[in-house]
Amino acid sequence: MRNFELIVIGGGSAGLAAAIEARKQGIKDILVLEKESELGGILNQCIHNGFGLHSLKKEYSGPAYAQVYIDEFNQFKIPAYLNTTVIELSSDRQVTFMSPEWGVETIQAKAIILAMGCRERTRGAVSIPGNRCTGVWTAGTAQKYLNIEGYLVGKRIFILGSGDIGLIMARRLTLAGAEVVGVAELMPYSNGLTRNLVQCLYDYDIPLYLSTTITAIHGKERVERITLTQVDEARQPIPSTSREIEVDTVLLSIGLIPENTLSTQAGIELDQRTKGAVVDQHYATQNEGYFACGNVLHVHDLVDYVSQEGQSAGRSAAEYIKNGKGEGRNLSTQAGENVSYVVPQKLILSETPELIQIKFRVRSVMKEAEVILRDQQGILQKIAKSHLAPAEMEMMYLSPKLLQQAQGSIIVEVREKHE
Amino acid sequence: MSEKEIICIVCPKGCHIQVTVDTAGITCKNYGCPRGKEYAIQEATMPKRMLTGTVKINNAIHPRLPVMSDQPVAKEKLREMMDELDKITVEAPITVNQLIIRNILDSGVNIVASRTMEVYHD
Amino acid sequence: MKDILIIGAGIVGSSIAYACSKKNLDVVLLEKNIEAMDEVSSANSGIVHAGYDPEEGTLKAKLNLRGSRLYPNLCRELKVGYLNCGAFIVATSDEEAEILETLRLKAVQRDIPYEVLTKEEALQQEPNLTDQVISVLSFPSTAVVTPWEVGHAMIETAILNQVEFITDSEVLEVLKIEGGFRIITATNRLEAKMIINASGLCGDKVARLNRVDYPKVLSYRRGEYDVFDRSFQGFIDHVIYPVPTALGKGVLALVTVEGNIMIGPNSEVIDTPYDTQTTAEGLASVSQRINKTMKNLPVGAIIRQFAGVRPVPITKDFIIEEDTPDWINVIGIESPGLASAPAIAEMVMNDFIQPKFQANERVDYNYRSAPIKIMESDPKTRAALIKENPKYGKMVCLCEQVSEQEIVDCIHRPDGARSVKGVKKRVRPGSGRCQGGFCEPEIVKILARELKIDLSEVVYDTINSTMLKRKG
Repeated sequence: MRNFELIVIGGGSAGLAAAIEARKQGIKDILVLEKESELGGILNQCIHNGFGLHSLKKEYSGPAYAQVYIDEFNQFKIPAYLNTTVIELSSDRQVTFMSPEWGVETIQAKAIILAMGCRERTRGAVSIPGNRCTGVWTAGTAQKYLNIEGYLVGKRIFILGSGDIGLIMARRLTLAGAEVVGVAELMPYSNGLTRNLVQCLYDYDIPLYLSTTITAIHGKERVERITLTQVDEARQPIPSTSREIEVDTVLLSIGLIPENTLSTQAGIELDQRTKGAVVDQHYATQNEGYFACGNVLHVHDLVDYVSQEGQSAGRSAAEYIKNGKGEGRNLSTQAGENVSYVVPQKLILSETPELIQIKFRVRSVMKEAEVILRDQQGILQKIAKSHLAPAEMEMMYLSPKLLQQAQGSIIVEVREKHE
Repeated sequence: MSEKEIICIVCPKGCHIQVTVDTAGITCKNYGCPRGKEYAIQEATMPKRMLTGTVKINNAIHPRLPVMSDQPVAKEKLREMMDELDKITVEAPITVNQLIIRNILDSGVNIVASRTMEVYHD
Repeated sequence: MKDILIIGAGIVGSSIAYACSKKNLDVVLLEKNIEAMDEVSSANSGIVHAGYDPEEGTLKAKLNLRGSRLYPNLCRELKVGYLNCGAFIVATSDEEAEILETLRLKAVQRDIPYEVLTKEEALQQEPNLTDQVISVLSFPSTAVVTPWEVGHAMIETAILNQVEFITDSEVLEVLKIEGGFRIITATNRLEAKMIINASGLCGDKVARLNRVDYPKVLSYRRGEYDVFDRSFQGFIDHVIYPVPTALGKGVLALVTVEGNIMIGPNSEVIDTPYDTQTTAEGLASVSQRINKTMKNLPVGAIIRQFAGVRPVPITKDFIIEEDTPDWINVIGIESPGLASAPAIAEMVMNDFIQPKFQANERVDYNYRSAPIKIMESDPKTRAALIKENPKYGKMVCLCEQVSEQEIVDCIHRPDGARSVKGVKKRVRPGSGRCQGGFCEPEIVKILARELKIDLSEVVYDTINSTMLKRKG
């Protein structure tokens, strides 16, 4: 069996950044396994701009941002197997892959970085009743058809979900000649960036229906109409508000799910809140030699932070390969009131004081709020925040002093100040 | 005289800025910072957007090459420019930032390749 | 003039065509849609019932029992999946336990193997049964198959043995001519000595094309289902039934050959036969009623809903009759139609076809070769396959682990896939947790390439279900 120091599963933004950093840290023996016929992952179909504002200090389109990393990756001559799918992953880091070029092979790694990204939530997962005619797609699939292949999915389109993917596609489809009849959002506020609301909906007079959902899709051989219904505070449909709209296409932008089927197979402990692995601040999972980063760990909004996370995971994996697992005092984090999740879930405090970055999301839009960090003894820190939203991942640093003081579990909660 | 409400996109605060344009000049109300004010004035008087789209490409890994304008273009010209993109076909290989359309619709803006696409055969 | 023309390539028509292919008969099988097995046969529970349930003296009783015994060999011959999972009928009250006893007696009478299980025994075998279980009647001979896999395999084998298969051919007119019939479709005139009407949902409508005063004998019922992700395979091992009532078999928990668990169906009378929509009320009814027999259902793992429609005969039994000389109706085939199909074909052959034709056995019969499933091959075979044909090594559907070449293969076999759904039915891409989110564009591209059409001409299932429009 062939041995590698590091195998990276996924050659998208997380995997590329991780592999590059591991190489920079001196790891020679790296292999990236990528299922598509090229590197870059989902960025290849995200032809719009807005990428790299934070990390590269310039605005890139998705493919251009990917190209920066692909060029660096190629300069380092890091091997990548394309068209290659991992079909089995073991708890002791044996990777079985299948590839037209390489056949089927099982290889052994000292360390593995999971960077498989995520998939889209489907109609079936949320059970939208009606006919199962063609004309219903997730927004990402429609994006692939248009930006990669050059085909429009329909002429009169309705979008469910006002997250960024739905908004971006509203604009893209309009500019490509389709009519986007409207966007419905289950929540009473949009999940997307204000920039996208302005440049994707308001710019094109596309109506946004808040507290609204699609309760049925009808059509014989193709979608012909949808039933749009308002929802109450408990997000339950109010039947008397139902009305029908004639469209030929429905796009769903209703959430992303980290793609952890292989991780589960390898016995990697997952966090039910993030649907990604439980990791420490080194992005090491609870399974020896496995690391995770990017959308497979938790769904990100900005690729800049995916690259950063990939870089951290690459550095940590390199450190692990060179010097093994670090020791230290164990702490954990916990999502408290108004917080839906915290990453990393575990902290290992070594002798050397370090700043640890945590990432979390709030459950609802909050203004004039306080982030409260506490343990069972009491409050450790309070930080004022004027604006927080579920669609914007928060990041903050825990100081060495706070970490030294903390016992057991650090609970992250958010309260609006007037409470 | 025209009055517009501009939602600022410079930072997550999203201030709703009132921009009034009349013979005396331009005034802004309700902005949270100077960057926001600058954005609102631009948006109210001559809104611009980056153009991103695709063009047909032969002999590459995909049938479409993603392209981007090298600077923002007038917002009202966007659709016309998108139609221009549909008129051309390029040949692989293309390098990222390679010029695809010079001075599109006489705007002074160039359209460049968003990525590299080598020659590719299945 | 052909000997036999079969109208409808659902499980019944395909079974009859298959039976005919074993004899020296000149047969044509007509299918209205562009793909066979696309209506009743595409959306049902997939159960080969053991045969205890139908009323004594009915065709259903006779043919279900016979069919259930023919299936294992049939699936071996066709090289398709057959899962002998067994069935549990779950009693949760003393009244229900009494009804179980009446079923047990029927099983004794029909020589169907059974076992009575105590609560402890039942929960030991199926820990996810409701805690309200009092006793279970177990039927080890119940099995499940993938109906369209069986149907397509029968059609393919029939084609390999001289049966002509024509799709996209709705029968528009029937004329009596010397020696037989002339069947008119939009693009064909076909003549045959005998017509077998196995046209499913439009059974009585097609019968009326032959005899203008044929009565309306069919009404329609719809059943809705939830499908769970394959990762929950093993949640149950048997098909789990509640105790049957006058309304029917009830909401079941099902296993499938591929490993997906399903729950359903409810049963709702509908007005028009093609109303296969799922409804909020129907799905809610399924979710609620399944709790009678099950606990711990992983509802977060539901990946899909679907609804199937079946024709309900007014006689409450299969209608298998020679309505006018040499016009055979085989209609009103509702449950246990799938289980009975091979026996229905046998009956049609013995009672109608052979008396007229007395055909000999076909010599040098050609059985089909099993489709290659790359993930089920042993490592050595897999390596050799990929070396010879690298497309076997390119995974297109990650959720179900289907390679590019398997998709290409299923398009080019006899009775090959002509649509995205046709590919999905034959080799599974799009059936998994991402529901085609990643792989559908690749399926569309492969269909376009292999059928030599543009992507905008690729259809999802029916002839007008095009999906894409070329941009610019």
